[in-house]
Amino acid sequence: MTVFGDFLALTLTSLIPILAPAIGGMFAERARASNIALDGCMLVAALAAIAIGAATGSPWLGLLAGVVAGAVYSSILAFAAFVLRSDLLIAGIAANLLATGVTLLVVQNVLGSTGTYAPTGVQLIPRIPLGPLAEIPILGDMLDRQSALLYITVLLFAVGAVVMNRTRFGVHVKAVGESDEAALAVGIKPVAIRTATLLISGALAGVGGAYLSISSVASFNSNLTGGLGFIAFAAVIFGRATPLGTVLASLLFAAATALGIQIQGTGAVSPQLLHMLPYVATVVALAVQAIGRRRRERFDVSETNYVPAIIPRG
Amino acid sequence: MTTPPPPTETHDDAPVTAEGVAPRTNWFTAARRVVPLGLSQSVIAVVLGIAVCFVIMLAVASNPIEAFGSFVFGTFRNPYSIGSMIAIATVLVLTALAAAVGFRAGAFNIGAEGQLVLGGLAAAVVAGNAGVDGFAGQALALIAATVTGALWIAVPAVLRVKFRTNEILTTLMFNYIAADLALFLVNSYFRDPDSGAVETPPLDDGLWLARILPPPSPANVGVILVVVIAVAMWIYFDRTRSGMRMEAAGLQPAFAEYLGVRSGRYLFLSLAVSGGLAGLAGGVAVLGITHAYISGFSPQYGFLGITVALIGRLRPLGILIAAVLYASLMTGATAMQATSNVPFSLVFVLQGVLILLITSQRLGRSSS
Repeated sequence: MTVFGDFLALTLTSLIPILAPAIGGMFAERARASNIALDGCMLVAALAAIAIGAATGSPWLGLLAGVVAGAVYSSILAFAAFVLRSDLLIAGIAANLLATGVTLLVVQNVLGSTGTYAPTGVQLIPRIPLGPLAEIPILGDMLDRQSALLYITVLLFAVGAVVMNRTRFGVHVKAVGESDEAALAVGIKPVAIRTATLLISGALAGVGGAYLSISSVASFNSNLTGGLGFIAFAAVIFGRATPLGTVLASLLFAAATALGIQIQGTGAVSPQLLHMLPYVATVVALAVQAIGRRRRERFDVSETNYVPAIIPRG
Repeated sequence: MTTPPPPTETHDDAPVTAEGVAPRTNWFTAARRVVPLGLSQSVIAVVLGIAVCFVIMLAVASNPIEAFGSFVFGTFRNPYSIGSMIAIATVLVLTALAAAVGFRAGAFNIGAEGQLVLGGLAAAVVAGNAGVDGFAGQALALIAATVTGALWIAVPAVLRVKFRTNEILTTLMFNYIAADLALFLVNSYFRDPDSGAVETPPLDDGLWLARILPPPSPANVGVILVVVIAVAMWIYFDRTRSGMRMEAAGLQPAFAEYLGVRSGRYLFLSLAVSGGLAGLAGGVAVLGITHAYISGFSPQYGFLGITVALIGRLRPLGILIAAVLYASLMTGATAMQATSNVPFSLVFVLQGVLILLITSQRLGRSSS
């Protein structure tokens, strides 16, 4: 196994929990319903996946539970934003904090573990051996024994790209993103579309969360995501909420993660410094994008110039 | 679910500013109306939040009434708890002021946790190594903490002001980077060789912020410092021209520019102050409570500050009250964890529920 092949394999492994949430995040962002709670959805989904996976003995039912849990959890955000009319970004941050609290509470009180929940007898999502194809240089190294979730994620991405660019729903999402008034004029319901995109993003964040708890490792703690949901959200922003941009940005952040892990293997640099790499890469990417935008004086839809909804007067 | 009316959003075309044509108003700005946050909204959110906690206790606690009693009133059952509550509230006031100053200038600093962790580390290192004892040593350490916090937000702040980079994401990423950096620095340079844990050597008691209640109660003179800072901020925002301009720049950057306010400068200033306050909070926590930098010394003070700021309606005096309220629930949660089977993590659930509810335009809208 070559070093380069190893790096590519690690990049693809790291891609799963970034790209899967980012696909859904892309729909939400495009409909102007930024789901900054992807991280919280992943965390809740990861716990649901491993708990159901352990209870049923089936990783696929675990995955299903994760997807459902992610969608249900993001419906809290939709409820807060569209029914209670809370500020979407602040509510999203709240949903992330709530996810930490809820998962801690469930792990301690319902599942009866302190800190890390590691049930016995959890079946992991199978890894797919390539058999004779593994002998192909580079490609074999890259793809041999990857989690089945990698293929599922790639499939979801392909479906997401087609839905975004080739279907009625995609057109509606983009229409709502352009203008509520115009969308309403042709009979599209903005709130319904936004709710749908939030649910989709929660469900797909569930795939990423399930990967963390029942494919990457077989345990759960409330720090499991390590901000991957936010990196996925950043990938959406950096990729301008287009399918191609999102996948390229996700690959970039996955490569930064893989690079960190690989250098760590050599022991040359402190593991803590290497652990920063994906977060630093995210900041650098957002900065480069912003500087480039400033140069071109072009402003895209996903730019976030934030003005808080709560200004105390009265 | 009835379909609520679609959010009314306006898409302004490029307003003219002092610097020429401003960028097209994007949806983030367009979608958000200025919503006066009423006192009733804070009260309703707190009551509903505590009600949610009670429902959770009914579900998980073996004795829900007793657990609830500990949670809400536990702090006031003995003097030590009251001292803990004051010490925690001291830190929360600072992180809440940090969040509030950003919000009021139109920015969301969600990186207080990282600024606080590095500020705390800076305070411990400076106090432990400067060779200055007593008040001067404490002052030096707190200044180091403040400067560190302000420096840690400098990159996100410059990116936000100069290039309009989303500061929510960058400050958030800086939390993760700060956690790794602090771990690296302590492990490599500042670790207490006599301790198995990731922590700096304990500080001399001459460097501790003086206690205001008999030991072991951790309540300390930091409380005077934060009240002074809160009053100063109240004066700044409500009584000075600069403060009014900062708020105007936060409300309507384009309009403020039109009136000749350099909104970018105020935004940068507010973020620097926000980072500095969060850093100072770390210093106060280290010198006042833990007396050493201990990895994980913050039970999410930085994030809790956002909750406290929102409950306090972003106003300094409201924040003082909200900090006491939230700190007493946190100390109560510690008592609850000791006497019942409901864990401390309930305060994080409460925190999430409170923030979810507090910006709601459906709950208790007061007439502005």
